[in-house]
Amino acid sequence: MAKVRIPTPLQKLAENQAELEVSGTSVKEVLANLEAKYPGFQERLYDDKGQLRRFINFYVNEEDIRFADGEATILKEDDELSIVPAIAGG
Amino acid sequence: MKLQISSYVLDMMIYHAEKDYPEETCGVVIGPKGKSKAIGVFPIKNIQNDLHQKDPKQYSRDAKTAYFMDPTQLRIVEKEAAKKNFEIKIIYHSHPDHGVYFSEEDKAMACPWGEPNDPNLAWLVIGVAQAKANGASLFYWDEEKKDFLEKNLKQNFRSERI
Repeated sequence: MAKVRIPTPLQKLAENQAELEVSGTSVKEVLANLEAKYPGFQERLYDDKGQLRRFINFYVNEEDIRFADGEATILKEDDELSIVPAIAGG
Repeated sequence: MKLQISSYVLDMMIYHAEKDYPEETCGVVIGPKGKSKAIGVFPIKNIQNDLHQKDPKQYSRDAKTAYFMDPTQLRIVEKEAAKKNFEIKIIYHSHPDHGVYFSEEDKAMACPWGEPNDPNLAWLVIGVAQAKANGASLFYWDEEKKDFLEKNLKQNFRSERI
């Protein structure tokens, strides 16, 4: 089980919870299980090409998965996956 | 809640904006939770060029026309600030050679799912032309208008800057 931290605007999809326990051993698996339990995350976290949206940072503990193995990044028992909007612009 | 910004804080941001020209600068200003003071300036690395080089399809712009705050640095600042009961009050970035305004891209990124992630944040844009800052504005989310409203900071500029 991994701990998943949900950003405020998406908490309404998950009965207003800020933190959830979700099973899975990689970021991809955890996000798929999250979608199965609380539908609506998939379309908000992935773009229409099936890639993680560029404006969201996914941290496993403190590391941004862009600089690890992306979606394939391994999640161990009790690891924390934080979903946080990136701060970016033009 | 109207934020108080000293000319010292503005000068720090301007210094970085001019130094990073012709690329966009970016950073955050923190202040005590629940108060309207923004006192600590933390420049954050703009990693847009790295992202653009790695994946030019997803990140089509380079750092001359976009910014992307280093997520690791940003996280450290946020966590350390929280320990002292501080929080991010202002997100700032510069527009090299394209004026002071909150662009469509700025709005889209500030509202990742159609609404601001944090409606209390203020966004500050500094205009820079030929390596000299020439204007700055704060943009606040207006819940009724569902848009960002501009507050010009001309009066906070030192006279020799205008």
